Amino acid sequence: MAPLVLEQTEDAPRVVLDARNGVYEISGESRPENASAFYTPIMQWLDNLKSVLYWQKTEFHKPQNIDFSIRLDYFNSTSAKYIMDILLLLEKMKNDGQNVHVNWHYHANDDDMKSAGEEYSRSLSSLNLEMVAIS
Amino acid sequence: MHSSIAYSSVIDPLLIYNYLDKKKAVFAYVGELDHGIINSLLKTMKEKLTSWGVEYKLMRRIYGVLVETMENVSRHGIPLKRRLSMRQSKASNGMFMLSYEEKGFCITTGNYIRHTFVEELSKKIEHLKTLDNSVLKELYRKKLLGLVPDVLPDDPDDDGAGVGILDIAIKTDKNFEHAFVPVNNKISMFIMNIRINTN
Repeated sequence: MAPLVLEQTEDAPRVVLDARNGVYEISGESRPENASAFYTPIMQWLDNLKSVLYWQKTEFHKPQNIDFSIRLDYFNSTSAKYIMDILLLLEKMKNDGQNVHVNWHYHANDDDMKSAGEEYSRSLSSLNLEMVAIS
Repeated sequence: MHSSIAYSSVIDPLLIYNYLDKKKAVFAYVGELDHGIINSLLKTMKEKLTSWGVEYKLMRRIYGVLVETMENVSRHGIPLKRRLSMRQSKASNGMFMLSYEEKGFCITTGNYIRHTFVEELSKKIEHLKTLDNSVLKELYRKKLLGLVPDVLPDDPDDDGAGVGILDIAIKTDKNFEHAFVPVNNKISMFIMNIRINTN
């Protein structure tokens, strides 16, 4: 799969989805003008990855590792819905038998961002977010 | 008064200045609010909050509320006919002000909305204010999962679907007031005063 790389802008995060090198990361600030247009290719890429990994696991009986990092300074309420969709998709991959780990990075003094990660975690039944404080 | 211009053309700006000064305003804006203008204003506000040495947690909270309020004005507000412009702008018109208070900061916003939205919007905001923060968080979580209907009146142009107001209510522990002031027989000004305290 060709990697999906979106450079950070003043209102949209940097996105790196690179299956070959095992890098999955969203970082920066997320409040794009058109959240649907921004997140739809990301969801499509991840959905495609899910299908490929499912096929590989069925054929070769070998689960794949997905270490996904979310390092957002801020995301608006519109982006929040799409982040939820990404996490639900990652949870489905875990339910498919892949080794999925999600690290939720937050500034050590930012209780709101920590709380947001914990709330997401509560919405997922089989995928826990690893809370990582950064200073 | 020593001036080369008429007293009448000075008094209004003086009144505005004195009002803003009395309110301890540190930033105020009136006019069109589209995404590009919001980007510019947020960049300025971020630089200002950093230069004032506002503690990180408070700064992030102010920033978050600024984004949601400006986006609300931009999405839900209505454009007014421009008196001076040659073109008809599609951008919403509104105002916002950040002012300093003893316990923190206050964000004041104002935007025009149609009367038809007032009753439903008022009811929903009043309802939100009766809920505990834990209930608001649960409502927000369910909203993200698509398990509850919109918080704000349906608006086909709004893909935020009302989670913005929930986010503000949670971040400020419902420390806000709102009012609707009729402007004419079709529109009202929707005003919010949102307080973000240090603790």
